[in-house]
Amino acid sequence: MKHVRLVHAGREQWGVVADDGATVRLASGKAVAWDEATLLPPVTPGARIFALGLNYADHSAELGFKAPDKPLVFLKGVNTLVAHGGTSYRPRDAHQMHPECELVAIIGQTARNVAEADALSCVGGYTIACDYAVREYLENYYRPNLRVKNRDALTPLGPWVVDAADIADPQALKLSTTINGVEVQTGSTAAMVFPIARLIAYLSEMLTLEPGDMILTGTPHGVAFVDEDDEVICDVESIGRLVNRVELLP
Amino acid sequence: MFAGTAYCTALNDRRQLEALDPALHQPPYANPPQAPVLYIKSGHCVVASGSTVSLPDPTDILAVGATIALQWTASGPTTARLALDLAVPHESFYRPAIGELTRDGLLPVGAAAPRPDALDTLEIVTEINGTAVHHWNLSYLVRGIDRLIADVTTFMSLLPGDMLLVGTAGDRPTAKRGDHVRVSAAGFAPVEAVISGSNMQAGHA
Repeated sequence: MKHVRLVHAGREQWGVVADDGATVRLASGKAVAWDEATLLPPVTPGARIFALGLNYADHSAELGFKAPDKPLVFLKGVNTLVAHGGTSYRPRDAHQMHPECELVAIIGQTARNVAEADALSCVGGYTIACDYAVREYLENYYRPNLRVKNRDALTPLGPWVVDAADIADPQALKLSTTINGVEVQTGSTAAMVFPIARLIAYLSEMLTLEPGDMILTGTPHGVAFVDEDDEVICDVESIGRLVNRVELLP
Repeated sequence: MFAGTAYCTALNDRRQLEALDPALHQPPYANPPQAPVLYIKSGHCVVASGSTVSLPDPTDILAVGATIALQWTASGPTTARLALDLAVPHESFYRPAIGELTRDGLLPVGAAAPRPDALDTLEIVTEINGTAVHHWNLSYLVRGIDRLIADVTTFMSLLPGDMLLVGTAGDRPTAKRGDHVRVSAAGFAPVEAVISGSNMQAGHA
């Protein structure tokens, strides 16, 4: 099933996408059409947002880094999120802003000191992120620093959460990004340096993962810069297509 | 658990930045920081004053970073509280340090109250087991509070419920198992914590 978070009739709600994709069924049983709802990023209140840097060897190589010997994990605030169909803003003084298509694993049960062999069973669902970076603002302090990775609305997320039970093998999914229909990123989750189970095991050694916590698992190679009015689509096989538009920051 | 996100400022102590200046011109840094240096503590780090905080497995001491946390409401950064930014001591500022900074329970906080107008010379005292071991004065901040808010909000918004910790002292003390830490400053409710060696979870705020 596909679960969406939305605003309908003045209230934040969660719903399930109907089999034909035309409507969303709310908890009340009411079916609403897409144009009667405003989508929100499918995030659980208070959930942590972990993100990975350099988790695909081909992306590390193109940036001039060796793949790290342990996961490069950073955190993000909810200010960064924007829903499917939303707008991200490129700063006027920065031209090197690029999309990063990522599979997102969403924790489904409390996880503490979980063995890698058992870790995938802790995932409740999956979604897609486009974790933009603005390269002009990189500094070597807690890199990737917050001016690059914690900007408002520069992490489109969605369109929905797909139940983990519906994904046979999360480490065998094709990912791609297009800008105005031109493919700029392509890869497979099979190429992660640290697969999802290893990431969960690693994090759960340090802290207690809780349902709703999200792990943005990194992006494959392909650095292409966006401009005003671009349409960016991140596609992850079996999950969906996350659409986003770029405008200049006012 | 605390619903918001705590944004913590590093390298905002003028004396610390001056002492590190030669190193900050070398790899891996290349240049001293331009934008405010921030790291994130999630709501799971935040515990109420009086909590017991477990030492994370790989360390037998915690750095004790006393500071002021500005707390956002719908009206902006209108409230403030004392915060005890605990960390596994680490030398490098190069990569995000989740294991050192972001473990559950590493941010005890005091009660929030309306933010005083003048915090520029606030003296924050850290006591360990009843002895004052450290004084930190906000006059040492590289970016004072108003400038810090202005510079951070050029690139991100803080939302109601979020906190901005304005910076800790470069020479902050450390605490070990069994220590009772108390931080106080005029006009603020104190924040206290006990450092425990057990694997018990800290009580969440």
